[in-house]
Amino acid sequence: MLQKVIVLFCFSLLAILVQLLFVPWMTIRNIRPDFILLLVLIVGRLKGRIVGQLYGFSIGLLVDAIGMGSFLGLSALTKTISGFFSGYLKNQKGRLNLFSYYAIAIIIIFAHFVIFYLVNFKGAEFTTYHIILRYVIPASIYTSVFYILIDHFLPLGSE
Amino acid sequence: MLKKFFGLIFDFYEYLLLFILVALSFTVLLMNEVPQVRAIQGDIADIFSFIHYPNMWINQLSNLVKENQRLKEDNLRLSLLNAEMKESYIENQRLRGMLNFVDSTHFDIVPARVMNRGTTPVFNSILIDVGSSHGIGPNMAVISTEGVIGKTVSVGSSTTLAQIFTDVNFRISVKFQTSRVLGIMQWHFEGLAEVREIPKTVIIHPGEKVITSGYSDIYPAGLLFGEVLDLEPSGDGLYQVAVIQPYVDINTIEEVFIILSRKCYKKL
Repeated sequence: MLQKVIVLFCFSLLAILVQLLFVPWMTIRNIRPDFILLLVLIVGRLKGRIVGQLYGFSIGLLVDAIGMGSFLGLSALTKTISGFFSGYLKNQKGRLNLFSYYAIAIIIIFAHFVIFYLVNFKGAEFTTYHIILRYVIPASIYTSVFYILIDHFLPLGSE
Repeated sequence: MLKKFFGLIFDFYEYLLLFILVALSFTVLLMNEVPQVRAIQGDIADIFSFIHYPNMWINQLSNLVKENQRLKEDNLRLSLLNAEMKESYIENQRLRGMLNFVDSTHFDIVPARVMNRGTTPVFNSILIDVGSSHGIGPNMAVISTEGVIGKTVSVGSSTTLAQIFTDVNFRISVKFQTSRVLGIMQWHFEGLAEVREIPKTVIIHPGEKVITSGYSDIYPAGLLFGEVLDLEPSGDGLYQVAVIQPYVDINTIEEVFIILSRKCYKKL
């Protein structure tokens, strides 16, 4: 149990470092993938709804607190919800067809960015339409590509 | 009855936990402006500041050669400028003395390095490596050699979060240097800022410098912000909107200064 927690903590640090060090180089017109969200989705997918949402909340709050986020509590909120819903994908990889399986993951990623950007831009005079088109959809696509690559090609077991 | 209640909780404990965590997140989100919460955020940022060190090292290494060249150029330029300014200073002192003016403009500043620019695409904040142990407090002006950057928000003992002008909620009182018109600057998008509700009768030319007005407890008067790029009529046609090009490029900023003294501001 303790070993699993330590491994998860190491992966969390790794995801934060990747987000800090490499993601700025991968930014295209202010759009960047969210590797911390990817880790939350993978944890939820492997460990279920309870661990997924607890982990999403913890790492989200940490990310907000250390100054990587914008509003304190926003990442915690979005990643809790993402972790919870990704828990529904536990043990579903073989059961669902591949399209449905990844479609659910993409919907979770999309929902995450919808909440994140709408709250983030609450003071701006952008229309919801503009925020969705300019930020939410591109960020969702960018992050989804990495999720599919990681989930499909890395040997992630069911536990 | 009680057994039934606990049974119900047991059946839906995943959803109950989700509800609790979402409620907690909302509570924290709604308490963003509470100073105590900001202070806790600053303390946590302090503890985890080691996470940002690799980022700083890589940035420093990659920019070392470029920075060295730039510093040499700056050194030469500043040496020439210094000689020129000494002459101007002597002349200025003489004229001030003649007009019996008191030179009261003096700021105490603290240099700081940018540890992190935030991972959100809108770059709402920067994390800098000075804090309350260096005399930093909330709502102090953050500037660079090029101009205004923002203000301090959350202060830890050795790190500080600063809100920068690209934040969509950032506002600053500015003055157009030549036409002397006042306005409130706010971030627009795509690298530009804007000042709205300027009367149509006012003549402002592109290229005119935009400075801080001094009508603020945070920013002293006369700090450079940017220059007018273009003027556009407002949507209702009653006013004009000035599009401003900031002097500071947030994407390349590495060192900043925090103005400590707030008492000795001299308003224009």
